[in-house]
Amino acid sequence: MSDPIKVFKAKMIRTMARNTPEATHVAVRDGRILAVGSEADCATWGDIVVDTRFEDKVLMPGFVEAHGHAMEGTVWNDLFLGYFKRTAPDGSIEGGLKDIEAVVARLQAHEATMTDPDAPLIAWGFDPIYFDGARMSREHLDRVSTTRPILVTHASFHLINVNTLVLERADMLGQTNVEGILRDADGQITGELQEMAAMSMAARAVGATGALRGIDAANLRTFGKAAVNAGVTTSADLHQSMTDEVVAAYQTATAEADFPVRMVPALGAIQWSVKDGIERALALKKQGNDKLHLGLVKIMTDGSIQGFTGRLKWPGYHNGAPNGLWNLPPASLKEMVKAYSAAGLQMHLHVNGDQASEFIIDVLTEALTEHPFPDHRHTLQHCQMADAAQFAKMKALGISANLFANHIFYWGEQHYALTMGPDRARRMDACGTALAHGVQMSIHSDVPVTPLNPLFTAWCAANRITSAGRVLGPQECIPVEEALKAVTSGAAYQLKLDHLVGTIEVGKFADFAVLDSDPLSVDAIDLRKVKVLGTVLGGEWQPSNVPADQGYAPDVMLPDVLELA
Amino acid sequence: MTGGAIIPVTVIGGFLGSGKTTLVNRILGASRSRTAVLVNDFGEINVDAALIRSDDGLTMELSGGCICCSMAEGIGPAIFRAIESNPDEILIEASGVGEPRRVAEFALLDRRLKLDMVITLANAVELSAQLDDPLIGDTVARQFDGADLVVLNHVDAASPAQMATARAALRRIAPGRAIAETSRAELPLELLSATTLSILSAPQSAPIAHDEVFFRTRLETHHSFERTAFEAALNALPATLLRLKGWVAIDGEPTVMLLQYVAGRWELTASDDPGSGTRLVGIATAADLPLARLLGAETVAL
Ligand SMILES: [Zn+2]
Ligand SMILES: [Zn+2]
Repeated sequence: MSDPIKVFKAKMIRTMARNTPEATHVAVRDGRILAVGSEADCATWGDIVVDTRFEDKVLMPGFVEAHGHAMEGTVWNDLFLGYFKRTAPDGSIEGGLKDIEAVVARLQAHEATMTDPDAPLIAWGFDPIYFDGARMSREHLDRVSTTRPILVTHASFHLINVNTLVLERADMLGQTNVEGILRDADGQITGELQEMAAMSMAARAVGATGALRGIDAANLRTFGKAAVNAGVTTSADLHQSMTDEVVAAYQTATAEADFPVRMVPALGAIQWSVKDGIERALALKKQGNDKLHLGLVKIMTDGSIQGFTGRLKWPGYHNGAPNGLWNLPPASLKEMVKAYSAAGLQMHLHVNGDQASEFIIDVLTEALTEHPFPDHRHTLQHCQMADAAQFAKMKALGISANLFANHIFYWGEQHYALTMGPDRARRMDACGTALAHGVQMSIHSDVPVTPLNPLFTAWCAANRITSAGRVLGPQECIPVEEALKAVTSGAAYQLKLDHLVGTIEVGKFADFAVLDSDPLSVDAIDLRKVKVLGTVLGGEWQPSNVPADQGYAPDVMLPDVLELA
Repeated sequence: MTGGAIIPVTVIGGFLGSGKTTLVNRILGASRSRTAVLVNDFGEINVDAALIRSDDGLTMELSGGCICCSMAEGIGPAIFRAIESNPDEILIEASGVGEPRRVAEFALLDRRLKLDMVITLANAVELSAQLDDPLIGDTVARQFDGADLVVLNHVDAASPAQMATARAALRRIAPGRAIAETSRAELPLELLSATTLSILSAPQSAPIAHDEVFFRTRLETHHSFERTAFEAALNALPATLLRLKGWVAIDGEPTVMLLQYVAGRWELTASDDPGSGTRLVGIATAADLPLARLLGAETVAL
């Protein structure tokens, strides 16, 4: 006689499945869903024991983040200085610094807690675009310390600020004619550095390894905490070298019984020759375990729109900035994309600007004509500027879109004023157009670029409210139900894991997001207030690290929003 | 050279198919110094990289190394590793979409390095079509910013019409820069060699090669230069003068000084040369450069 079957009882179970969309009970055996429906439905399988801990809670399928980075597990080793509040993996709230003095005060407070007098103070997420043109200088940072190196990375990743000590150590104070060392109107070096040479020399001078830290098992465990806090039970890690060390770190972490999230790392094709990358990805496909799914491939094409490095079609950047950067010559990208597709490998293709997305759609047309690949599920990532014509082609080719909904809140105002102008800004991350064309779709955070929080991402797609409270392109807003599909079954499809996760259906992993209220019965504007209490992974409860009384992050000023909306 | 010496850096840029790897191989094939080479494997999808000789353990591949939406660290770590291998020179092949000017900033910033020369190659057959291509035109054009020498390569394969449009395009996107036309990136090694004084021992002859692309220019005079005026003259030399090297007599200095000038960047350092008088040799892309007049020694030369 086997053990009785565990059955979770909930106030409401939103299965996101066509079959039994609403339920009250879900039965679990061997980490998988055995039955979903009523208590009686579950009891048809034999003796049951009902777990009532969620009886006044709402269950959804665990959220799936189809475009995040496990680097979220490393960035919190450094101090976060963002304008909006953000939840750290340990559940504390950081950021929300509304002017430069607040940033300096936070740095001073952190400096006072550091015990090793020689350790550098490294910070990230500083975002002066909200500061009306005020800039941070080395005088600000010298007020924090003149004896400890300080390095602050901007949210855009294209600039850093350092204190005078770093300039001295990197031997930059006497420099002339170096574009990357910025000066004020009087020709004085401000401590703002840009361009890869100046930034990496400064990072080296303070012993900071910069953004490209490798991933280890401890970082993955930290990422796991962030996932639980956000209700995420499956996440892509959409650019990894996939060297032996990285694979070993993944195998170590995911083999641990209490590792709380299923990971889907993608091989960054740009870091391998085409031949070696294809061999590597094919070999990886045969490895993995229930919590580690390998074989995905990431292709980088252009840069970012807020960094003015995305590749745009006419008429280009609204402020006249020159067109952006390719990571490889287009002819080489074409060769690479065609080779991976011909090898039967699914690709996630980073395309921000509309020239990049158009180019990749054309390349995939050729690739899929020469070497048909049924059910390829190639996915355009970000795809922020695609218009109806591009979505129509994507539909015809069976290409998916993973749109960067969070951009509307975090950079929508910048797109409106600087990068796109009002008209194109209103149709960025066009979820409405994608759905109208029947394009298979998901939405993402690109964590750590923006916070991991699929309910917030769904709020962005449903409401399209910018940080200033502007509704940017109401015609592209999508219904809450579609936004929730995008962060569950839609994302699972794009990772080719929809047979295992993404809905609450018999046979799939027993992975749930545990919520304090029902996202399908609140107003769209309140979606972000639905609280994640934790997750269930393979039938095991994983409580959130966020204290029950914690406020909301990001700290959207809702009264202002409503007024402006 | 000793381990602590400042390492000259040559940066070679140009779009896919412009002949960067041919030039890298040419330099390596002839160089007698320990040259660390940073090649961009992924920009050229392995085809070119296979040609690069790699028998000295000093060849390093650059990874694209960018993460989503963020500024890449790019070649920084590879350059720092190259410095640690204590080479006599560093040669960097920028990626096919890279901007050589940005790569050169490393050499300007790191006091262990000095920028020798930035060379950007163009494909004479394809240049004007590349510039007209909305996908790549701006990328190709930006690669000429900051180039000390522009090499219009593959001229043997270009039709007269292609040559005319390529030359016109370079006048537009690289105005005022030294331009040399070659078929297989045949640049004179004394132009490329940053570490030797071979330029000084070469026999007197102009032009250097049979194709009248590079010209040697000499100045030998007993004129002693006033320092401030001489430095001002150096700063005003034309872009067609790529390299100028030798000894200069400066008023008030006990011995002649060593001048090392590359494309507008120069150093004047004390030397232990027992000779007297000014002896300079230059390489230029223009014939008959009036070196004596340009440096202010005209009166003596007369
Ligand atoms: Zn990306
Ligand atoms: Zn990303």
